[in-house]
Amino acid sequence: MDPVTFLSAIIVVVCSVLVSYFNYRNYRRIGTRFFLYISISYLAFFGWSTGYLLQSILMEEPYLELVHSIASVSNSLSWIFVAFLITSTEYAKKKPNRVLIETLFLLTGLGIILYFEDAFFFVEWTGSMIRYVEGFPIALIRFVFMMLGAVAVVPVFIGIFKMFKKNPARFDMARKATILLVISGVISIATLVLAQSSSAYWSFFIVSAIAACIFISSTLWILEHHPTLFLAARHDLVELIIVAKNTGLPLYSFGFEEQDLPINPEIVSAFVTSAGIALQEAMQVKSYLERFHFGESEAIITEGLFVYGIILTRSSSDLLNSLLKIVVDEFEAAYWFKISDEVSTSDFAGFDPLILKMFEFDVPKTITSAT
Amino acid sequence: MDIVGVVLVIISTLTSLIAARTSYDTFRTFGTTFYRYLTIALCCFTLMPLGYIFPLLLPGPENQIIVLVGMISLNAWAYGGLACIVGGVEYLKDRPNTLIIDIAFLLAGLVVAGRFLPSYQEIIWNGESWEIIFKQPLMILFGLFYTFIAVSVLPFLLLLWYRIKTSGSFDFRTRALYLGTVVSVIYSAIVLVVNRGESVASSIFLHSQAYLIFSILGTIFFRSLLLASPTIFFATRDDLLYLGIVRTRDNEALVSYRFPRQDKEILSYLVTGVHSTLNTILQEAIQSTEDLNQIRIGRDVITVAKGRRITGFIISDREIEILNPLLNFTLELFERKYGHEVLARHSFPEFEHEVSDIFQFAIQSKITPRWLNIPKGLRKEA
Repeated sequence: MDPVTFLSAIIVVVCSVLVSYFNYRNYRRIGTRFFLYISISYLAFFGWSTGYLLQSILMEEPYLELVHSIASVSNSLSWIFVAFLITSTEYAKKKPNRVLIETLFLLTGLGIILYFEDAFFFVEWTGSMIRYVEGFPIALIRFVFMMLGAVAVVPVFIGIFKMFKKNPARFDMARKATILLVISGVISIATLVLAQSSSAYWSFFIVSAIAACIFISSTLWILEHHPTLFLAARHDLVELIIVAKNTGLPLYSFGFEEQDLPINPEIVSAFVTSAGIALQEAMQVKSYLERFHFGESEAIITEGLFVYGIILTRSSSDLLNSLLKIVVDEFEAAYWFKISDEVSTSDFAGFDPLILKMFEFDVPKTITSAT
Repeated sequence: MDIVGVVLVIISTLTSLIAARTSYDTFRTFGTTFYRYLTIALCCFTLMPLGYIFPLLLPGPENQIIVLVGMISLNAWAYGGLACIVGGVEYLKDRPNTLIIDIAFLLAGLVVAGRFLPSYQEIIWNGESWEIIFKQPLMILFGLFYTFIAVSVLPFLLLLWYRIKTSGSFDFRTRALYLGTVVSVIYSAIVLVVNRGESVASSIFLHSQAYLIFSILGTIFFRSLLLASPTIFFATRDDLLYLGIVRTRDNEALVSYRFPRQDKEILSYLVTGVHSTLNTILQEAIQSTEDLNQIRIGRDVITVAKGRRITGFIISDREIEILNPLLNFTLELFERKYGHEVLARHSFPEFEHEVSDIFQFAIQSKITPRWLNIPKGLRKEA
């Protein structure tokens, strides 16, 4: 048994379970597929690191065959981990590229099977440790994977760093966490790749495991403090309006653009609420309006107990619907006693920080500094 | 050389190619994800039978490597094609699950890689013909892959058959073509699966011939079905509720068509009135040049399209990808037939028969389908 590797692997196993859980929790709360796919990918990562854990215990010559079998299974899970991770980044974009995702899964299948073929993957006893040997096809598929991964991941991070540039003060800590995440991720992958055919395999693995721990810690911090950070490239929000149900007048509005809405929010809210009632009458239904589509642009409406929430956006996604529901619930919880009174919109200015947190991926610099 | 085998391979390739072309035309017309996947799948199935040419033309153990590599590298496309079929069928369902498509492609990758591994299968010359022997790991992969395909595709095809049969709106020929397609596909799949068994697998000739005959029949039936009733795969009994066409100038209702399930009267002038008002206000607010094309109210979806002088809308109780091109076609047809009368007349009850034809897949009544070919106008629109 190798105690250092064993300890590193245990930390990675625990971290991967945590990341998977926190992402699944975000998926349940916010409902975008991005979090679901990350959660699945870290489950695969958990399987992969558990494999390393077992191998570190069985690092003796008599267990050569057993280690080989465990390594085949756990290394194949690494392909699934990467495939789901890249797929999740596709779901962080405006339009997921299904061709890329399907090619990726096809390649994952190709990659997995190679780990079960002795000609391409085998283990040998060096005298002091078990060494893994991988053939050319595995290296080739790994290279293709990394290229596809770069194509999928780089635009997402470019979007995030552009957002940081827009609001350097607001995202100071988030920027540091993301830089840490990128560097540790690259080191983790690079050391793992180098380790595959190196005699100093376990040294590389330890470096890789430490980097993975940093990567996972940064991810957890970001998920907790900036849950929608990775979805930065997806939206082009215009305005959020909260309208009183009984009067049809706007109680609160928040503009996401440098310039004001060309039409007064009062006019928009009056038309949307009266349109909702007219359509209920026309179609003889009890449900209320939910969405209007203008090609890519969209108006999303959510009905609360006392208010309607409206978001105008130039690119749509289910994420906005979930966030709007959260905003409407929070608004009613905070101001239910004020909603029926005669109030001015300035009475709800204290609601801005929640909007800044929920929609931080699309808040312009001038608005952040003003608030 | 097996002349019958070579002829079958050529016919199979040609029929698949022609079916792929028809499917591509249908995709150009309707633009739905289902037809896109279907076209890619048929392209893959065109390459697949070509793999059998190698064992048919190259006898003798000295050609083993060429036969092995040539056959497998072309046959392997079929697995990608089957994964595409899963993708297409998934997009016909109410809620497409992309995870199922991802797993199908993952399994396809496993099988493709498995077929290239020398330890997973053998191709040997027995003195008279080539024999293929699949080893246990590959058999397990085949089992997983085919079971997954069957579980994700077959229940939907059977549900579709039930809908087609009970709707009563498809004639005997169309129903027979659908059944013929499904039965041929299932039968060729059975031949493929059974021949994977070592005890049953004999020569590649026998295997490919049995498979190819049903594959050819399936593609011929399928192409005829696409030409006869391209929307049959969207067959549903209760998703569409109402279709209305109004004169844009004054919101006068020109056509009001209630689908069988809808029992309430829709105030179509109010729907289009709201559409036109909201269109103006929200376009200005969002600074969008595109028209308001969909309104969602609870479970119901209103799909809206504009013609030159008329506006049309369909109310359905879920989002259906094909509705937009069909609504555009309906408006185009209406303007072509009654363009000069739009301003003078107040109602066009006779147009309801055209609507029944176009939306045949959503109607539960005995009608004669006259919409046998995809109209050129619709192709241009798409």
